This record gives sequence, C-alpha cells and structure tokens, in this order.
Amino acid sequence: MWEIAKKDLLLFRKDKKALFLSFLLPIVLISLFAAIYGGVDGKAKSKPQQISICDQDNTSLSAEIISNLRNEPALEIELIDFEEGKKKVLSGKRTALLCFYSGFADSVNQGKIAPMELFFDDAKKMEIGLMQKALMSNIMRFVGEKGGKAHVKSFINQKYSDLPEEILDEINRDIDVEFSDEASTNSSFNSELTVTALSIQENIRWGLIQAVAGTLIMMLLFSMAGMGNSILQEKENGTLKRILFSTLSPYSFLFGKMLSAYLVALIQISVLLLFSYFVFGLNLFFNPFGLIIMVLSTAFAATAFGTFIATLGSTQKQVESIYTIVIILMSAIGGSMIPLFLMPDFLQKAAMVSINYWAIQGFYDVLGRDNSWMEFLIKPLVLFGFGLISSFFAAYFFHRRIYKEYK
Amino acid sequence: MIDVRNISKSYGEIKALKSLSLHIKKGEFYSLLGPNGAGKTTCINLMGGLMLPDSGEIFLDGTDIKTIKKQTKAKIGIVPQEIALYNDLSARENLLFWAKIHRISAHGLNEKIDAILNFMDLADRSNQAISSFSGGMKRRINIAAALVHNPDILFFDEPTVGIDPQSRAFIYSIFKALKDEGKTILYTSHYLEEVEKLSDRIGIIDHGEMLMEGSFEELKKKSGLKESISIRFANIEDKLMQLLKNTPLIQSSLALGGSFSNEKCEFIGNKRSEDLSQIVRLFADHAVLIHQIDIQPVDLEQVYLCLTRTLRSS
Repeated sequence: MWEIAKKDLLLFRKDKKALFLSFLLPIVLISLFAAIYGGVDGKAKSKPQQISICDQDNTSLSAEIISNLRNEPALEIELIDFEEGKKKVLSGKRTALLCFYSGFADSVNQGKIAPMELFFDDAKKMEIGLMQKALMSNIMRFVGEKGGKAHVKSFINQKYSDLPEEILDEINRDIDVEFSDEASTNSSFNSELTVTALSIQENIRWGLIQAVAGTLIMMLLFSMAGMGNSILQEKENGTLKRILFSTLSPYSFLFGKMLSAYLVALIQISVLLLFSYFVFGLNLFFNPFGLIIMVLSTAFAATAFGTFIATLGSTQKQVESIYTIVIILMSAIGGSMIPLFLMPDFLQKAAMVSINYWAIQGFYDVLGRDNSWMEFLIKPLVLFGFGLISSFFAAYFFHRRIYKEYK
Repeated sequence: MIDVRNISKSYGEIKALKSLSLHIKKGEFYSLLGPNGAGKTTCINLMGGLMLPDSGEIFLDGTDIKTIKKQTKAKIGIVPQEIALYNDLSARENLLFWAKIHRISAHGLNEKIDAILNFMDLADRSNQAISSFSGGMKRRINIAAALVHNPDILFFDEPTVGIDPQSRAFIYSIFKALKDEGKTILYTSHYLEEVEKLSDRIGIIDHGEMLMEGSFEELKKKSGLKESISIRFANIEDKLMQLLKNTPLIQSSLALGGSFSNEKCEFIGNKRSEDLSQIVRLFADHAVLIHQIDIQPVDLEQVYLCLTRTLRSS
C-alpha cells in the first residue's frame, strides 16, 4: 500500500499541472477572495456609490443636507440637472438620482411631507440596499429635526392659542433651544444606535477566514478529484492490470491511492494556511489543536469523496464531468463561492449536505469563534463520517465496477 | 510447470474459452497462436491468477490457481500488450516501483536494477523519463519491469507490437537469453518468424478452442506442407490472371494459403516435383514467360494459415 502511495507522490511531484492546480491556483484565488471580502488588510473599502443630486429647492436646508452627504465616505455626490440626472441613471452611469423639489425646506419647516424623490437604476437594487443606510440617516436627521420642531411649535400654538402672547413666545424660544444642534447632540431622543461587533478577540478578519476556508476546501476537492481520477488512468494505461497480477491485493492498491491523496491533501491545506498566516496574517493559533483536527478531518473527507467519485465512472472523461458538476454544486451551496448568510434559508439548510459547509463552519470555529468543544467537534465528526461513508462506497464500487472487469 | 485442464470462460454471452487444455513444461518456450479475439489474452489472464475460470483447473508449479498464494504469484512475470508503465517516471524509478510491488528486498536492489538495465541496453537512459523513450526502448523497459523480481514463469502478450525491425531483433535476443536461462515462457505474437525460431511448442487456438498443438516440425507434418514454390513471371493481363487463378491447381494452392498476382505466384502444395511440373505446364499452355523459380521449405506462417483454414473448413 505504501509503495503505491510513494509512487503516486513521486508522480504528483513531477506533474507540474497538478502542482499548479493544487498550490498556485488556490493561492491566487485565496488572495482574490480575501481582497473581495475585505480581508487582506482588514481595512479594505469598497468603491463609493455614485449619486446624482438635483437641488430644485436651492435653500440653505437642502445645501446643508447635500454638504453632509458629501462627507459620507460611502457616497460620491454630483450635483446635476434633473433631466440629465435621469438620463445618467437610465444609462447605468449613476446608481441613483436624489431630487429635492422646490418647497422642500418650507414643507420641512412646516412639519409637512417634504417633496423629495429618489430615482434609482432598477438593475442596481442591491447597491441601493447597501447605500440606503448612509443616505437615509443623513436626510432623515435633518428632516426629522426641522420637521419635528415645526410640528411641535404648530401644535402648541393651535392647542394653547388662548395663552398670553409672552408665554407663547417663551415656549417657542424654549423649543428652539431644545431643537438646536447643541441640544440635539446631548439629547437622548436623537442618539443614534451604537453598533458594536462582538467577537472573542479583536480584529478577527472574518472576510479573510471566509476566503481561506471557502477557497481551500473547493480547491482541495478539485485536487482530490485529480488524485482519484488516477485510478482510472491506471486502468486505462494497463498499470492497474499489471499491479493486479502482482502479489498486491486490489484493496491495497485502492487504499494506497487514498493514502497518497490524503498526504497531498494534508500538504495542500497546510501550505494554504501557512500562506494565509505569513502573507495575510491569519491567526492560526486561536485554537491550534482544533485546527489540527479540522485539517485532518477535512483532508480525509475530501480524499475519500474524490476516490468515491472516481469509482463511479468507467472512463476518465466520464468521471471528470461528474467531478466538475458535483464540486461546483457543493461549493456553490456549501458556502465556498458565496458566504452562506447571503443565501436564502432553504439553501442554507441544503448546504449541510456538502463537505464545504462543515469544513468552512469548522474553520470558522477554530480560527475565530468562541464555541464550546462540543459545538465545534460536531463539524470534524461529520467530516470524518463523510470520509468513512465515501471510503466504504469507494471500496464497494471499485470492486464492483473496476476490479470486477478483470474477473 | 503450467497445467491447464479443460478451462472455460465466458464474458456474458461470449464464450472466450471452451474447455481449453494445455501443458507447459519447466523451461519450455510455448507460443500460443490465433487470430485476434481467439482467447489468447484471456488464457494469460487466467493463468496469471487475475481472473478465475468458470470451469476447469489451472495449476502453476503444482498449486491450484484458485488457492494461489503470494509466493506462487511472485513466480509470475507478465509483459502485457500495452506499455503498462508510468511515463513520467524514469526507467529506474519504474523498475524500483515494480520490484517493491513484488516485495523485493531493498538490499542489493539497485545492483539488480543496474544489471537488468544493462541487459536491456538501457543503462545510459536509466534516469530519463520513459516518455522520452522510442517505441523500441519502451518495449524493452516494459519487458524489464516483468523481470525485476526474477520470476520463473513469464507471460508475454504480444510484446513486440508496433516496433521497428532492429528493436524487434534486439528483443528477440532477450527472449533467447531468457529461454537459455531456463525460464518457462508463454508467448503470443503475430510475428510468426519469431515464434518459429523461439518456440519449443506451439498451440493454435481459435474461438477459444485449442485447434492443434505441437512443435513446428510436428505442425508442419500435420499440415502436410513441405515446400513453397515461388514463381516470378512476365506481367500478365487481369483476364489471364483470373483464368489461371480459377484452375483447380492454383485454387488448391490458394486454399492452403498460397497467393497469385499479375507477376508472382506463391504456390503451396505437398508434392514438390509433381506440383512443379504441373505449374510449368500450365504456364506454358498459356504462354506465360517464367523469369524465376524458388523452392523453399514452408515457414510457420504458411503452416499456420494452412492448418487454420483446413481445421476451420472441417
């Protein structure tokens, strides 16, 4: 068995294409996904959304709102004519057009519905969703403040119109003081919701962890597919038949193949984790013992699964197609390509049938989450289970579909 | 050494072997001849213990193949039709792998491999990947891989397919050396000249049945053929060629594997003087100008063709 593994490792070392696919490509992909998820330096920012603003009101209030929006880093503001602004949105050059119609400031000051409108590119609904927070918090702060003051004043003047004029003036002055900027800053009514990210240690780069774990498991499955496919390669070039003529048992051949694939998987995972540690500063020492368990279990599940798929087909070409479909599907639903939280509920549940899901969740645990050992261990246990079941079926189909051909 | 008793093997509906028996003595060079699909490779697969017969028995060195042990399997070396090696590994790496697969001790293994590479005239290319080898060199290393564990029994399944005459001549010398070493060899090939020169005995199989078995001389005697008469003559027209081909004399030769063209006739018969005079008379009657007449003993190819045609028609 060891001789088969040793020979395969030697062949793997000499196969430049396999080395590229197993190490260089995953490194490139990890770097790419890490950049996408903002994990490279932990401060990566996305490109600001380009918004056109048409100020038909042209008052100090609208100017103040626009000035505040200009200071918002998530937005890039451009003042524009209404028709031109609409054209730019329709042509996809701008995400949205915000229009303050004339009478905007008056309506706000009178506590009425302020005439303003946001036009957006229907094809960019997602971007609108992302910039909504920056846009709305700014506008609503002003509208709420000015509109609120006007509304309170109007209510007091109408309700208590029989009060002496001096008292009403004093009340109005008090309202002005209460709604002034200084007062608003100290007011508990106007305080914004404080948002604090909770994690067991500071500066955990979840984007980087997602990029590393997701890419690592996807590329590992592709590598193991290549290793598994070598069983059929040996069948096609006649070396399997020659081996079966020797004193070696067919199962020693199969498990020798799995052993070499397992060793390659361990090396691949280790190299990719070390790359992420040295280049991106991924903390591998958050739970080192757990990390070792994850590496061993993920490698085992991927190896056994790759071997199992190889035994399903009759030719290399046939199996290559099966691999491509299965791995892409598993990676897509398992969270390798898209983070799970972005998926609908039913897909998040379906993800559990994939190796990717359990591996990614396990790596999240050992690289940053504060889970108990029991909560964590379920993930490597499921992966070992995947591995054992796949190994059983690999042996079954190897005997039934490949070895039996010679019988 | 190899005792095959009434073995039958089917693949689904196809009967690959039908109650085939053969016995190969220790140190004997036995060739199995037959057309493609005759059952030669199945026979080798069964004798090598790769598969089991549906019925019948096979004994290798006295051991029933059904209860074959690792020690008995280690006595077998097989050279398959295809180059069953790892292209990206060097000749030495390939041989080391096959030696270890046969559980050969590492002690002195490098020296053994050096000796085999020398024997195969591949010592100077030992560290090069075999993907860079010529067809003939690949065939030689394919044979070498079957010799690394020094087996007593060798199965060669068409080991010289697709190589140039020089390489074939070299491989022929390897077979001769192995035969002289006393190896028991089962050999299949479509190159009957090699078979004729190397074989102690020859078995002819077709449709999974042993048609005939014996030494070349025995087979020649059974065929009744003695010599072939090769006649070269001035080019004749197609019409005349057809006329001559349809005569009973030429028809009988064609039935035994002879040939007839516009300028050459390969006549096969079993009564030399009588045949020769009849041919000369036939050609003279039709005013065909004879240029040259050669009389040679029949070779294995002619005997094989004659026997298979006769046996098939009967």
